[in-house]
Amino acid sequence: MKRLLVFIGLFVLTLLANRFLPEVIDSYYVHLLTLSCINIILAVSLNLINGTTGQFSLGHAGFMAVGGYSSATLTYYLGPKLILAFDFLPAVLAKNFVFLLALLGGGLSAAILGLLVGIPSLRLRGDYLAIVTLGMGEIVRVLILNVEKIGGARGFSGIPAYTSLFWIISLTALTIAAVTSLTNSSHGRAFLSVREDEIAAEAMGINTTYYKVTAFVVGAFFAGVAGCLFGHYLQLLHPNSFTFIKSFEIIIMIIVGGLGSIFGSVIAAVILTLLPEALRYLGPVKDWRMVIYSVALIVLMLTRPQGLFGAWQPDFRRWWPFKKPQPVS
Amino acid sequence: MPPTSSEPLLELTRTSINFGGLKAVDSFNLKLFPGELVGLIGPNGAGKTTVFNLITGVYRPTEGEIRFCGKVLDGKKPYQITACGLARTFQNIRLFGNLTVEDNVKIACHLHYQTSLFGSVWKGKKYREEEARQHAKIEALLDLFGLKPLCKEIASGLPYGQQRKLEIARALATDPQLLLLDEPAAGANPQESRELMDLIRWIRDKFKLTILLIEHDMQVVMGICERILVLDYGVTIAEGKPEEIRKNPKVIEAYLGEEAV
Repeated sequence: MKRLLVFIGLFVLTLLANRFLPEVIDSYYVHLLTLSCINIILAVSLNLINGTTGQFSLGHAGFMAVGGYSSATLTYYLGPKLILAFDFLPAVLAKNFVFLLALLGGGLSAAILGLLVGIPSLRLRGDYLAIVTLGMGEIVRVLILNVEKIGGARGFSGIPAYTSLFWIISLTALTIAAVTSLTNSSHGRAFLSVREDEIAAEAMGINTTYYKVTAFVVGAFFAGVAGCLFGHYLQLLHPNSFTFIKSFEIIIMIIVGGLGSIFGSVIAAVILTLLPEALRYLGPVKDWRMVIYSVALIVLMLTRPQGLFGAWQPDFRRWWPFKKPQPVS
Repeated sequence: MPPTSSEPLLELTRTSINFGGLKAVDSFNLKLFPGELVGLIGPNGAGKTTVFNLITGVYRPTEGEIRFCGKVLDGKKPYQITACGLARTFQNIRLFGNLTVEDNVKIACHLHYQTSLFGSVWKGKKYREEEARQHAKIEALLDLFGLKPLCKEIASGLPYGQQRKLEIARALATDPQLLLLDEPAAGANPQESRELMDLIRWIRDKFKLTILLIEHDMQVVMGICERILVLDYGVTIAEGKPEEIRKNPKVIEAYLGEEAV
């Protein structure tokens, strides 16, 4: 019951933020907040695959692209009809309901691709898996490039601007909460055991096949949601946004944050989104900003190869309003 | 302890496995009765660990049949075999090194969890009760092994002897009927070996287990096993009580060479 009250409270807060935040802060900062949040969703979901389950995936941009494009197809081609069908609802509700469907559609289609990619992960590990996932990402991009209906090489334009601060904030919070809760559960420990020692995990009764594929499916789902938010925010999707460089950006985030640390992924996603922007204000050396950015990464990796936070996770449950599961004495 | 029932718990019938041209295990027969403590010995490379890997489903036998509680294990995946009530430890310790002692054991409890993936994300009442129940179980288990004060430590940071103990505790957390121990005394000094012997005997009685163990430390094997099988080049060369094995010329030959006989 308490949990329901907290959810309602957060819901109202998010609605208020959606209404008043753009009036209080500059639209440039709203833009940065949106990009940061999308990157947080991507980093946290990739961390489940790479950090927690230890399956090195380089295809996250591919999942994001599938989510973005399939949801955009939904809202672009079906959206107007759906809104007409829901004309008994207030316009705002109808619009957001269609967007909710698009988010689910985008997430699910990415999850299906995750299932397909998860299958080779049963046989491959390490570098080999990385190459397969990299290839998958490129295949997705090249396929999109050749489908005229979704813009092809010109990019998919005219996507309705459904992404609002409400969706951005609530979905980022939902992703962090869901992945954290999953990691801190019995199933989460099963993911970890796959990373630690597959043979021992099997011997302890863990169906490693199931957990590897599940990690891909869950991670891809959230990446698809991020893609959907991204497309309906920029109102334009272009295949060039989803090259393997995008995958590497997300990989860098989770490595900088510390593989396996959700908290680290969140912080690193924010830092790495804001850093290139902040370096614009460096005055005389601002032309060197990408160099400074790269050097900062190299220095960090040399001095802290385990990432900013290692596998460390702050214990937020101390402030969690719900009762902790009490160990029975 | 004499066999308490005539139905074998584990039965291997003429089990063989070939790796290319090499017959690693050849027509291996084994009957384990409930409550028995049996040793499997043999020189290096004799195929002892391969027998373990056959039983636990890591390898599929090329020929023969493996039955556990009357059910055929052949073709089942290792995790399914563990769920049948068969747990093992490893020769080169395979703990989940970066995780805590507690989590290592909790992972072995996972097969008893009923909650679905979504249920464990939502963490409803049912899940929390289950978690509390399993937590109590592993706390009791760690306490038995004297590992409770270390439960928040990272497993790879434990001393070697404790890691061995933790591996046994982890295997027990799966609630096995049969426990396979692969060289539990490896790297232990004589004092630790003696403690380990007591521990193995004690867990057998406490958890009503059947134990099959591979061991090089003859003192341990002769001290606790009621029956011993000797393997050499994948073939069973002797089987019997410890005293019989000690005197068996074939065994002495396998270990010390022909001239020693």
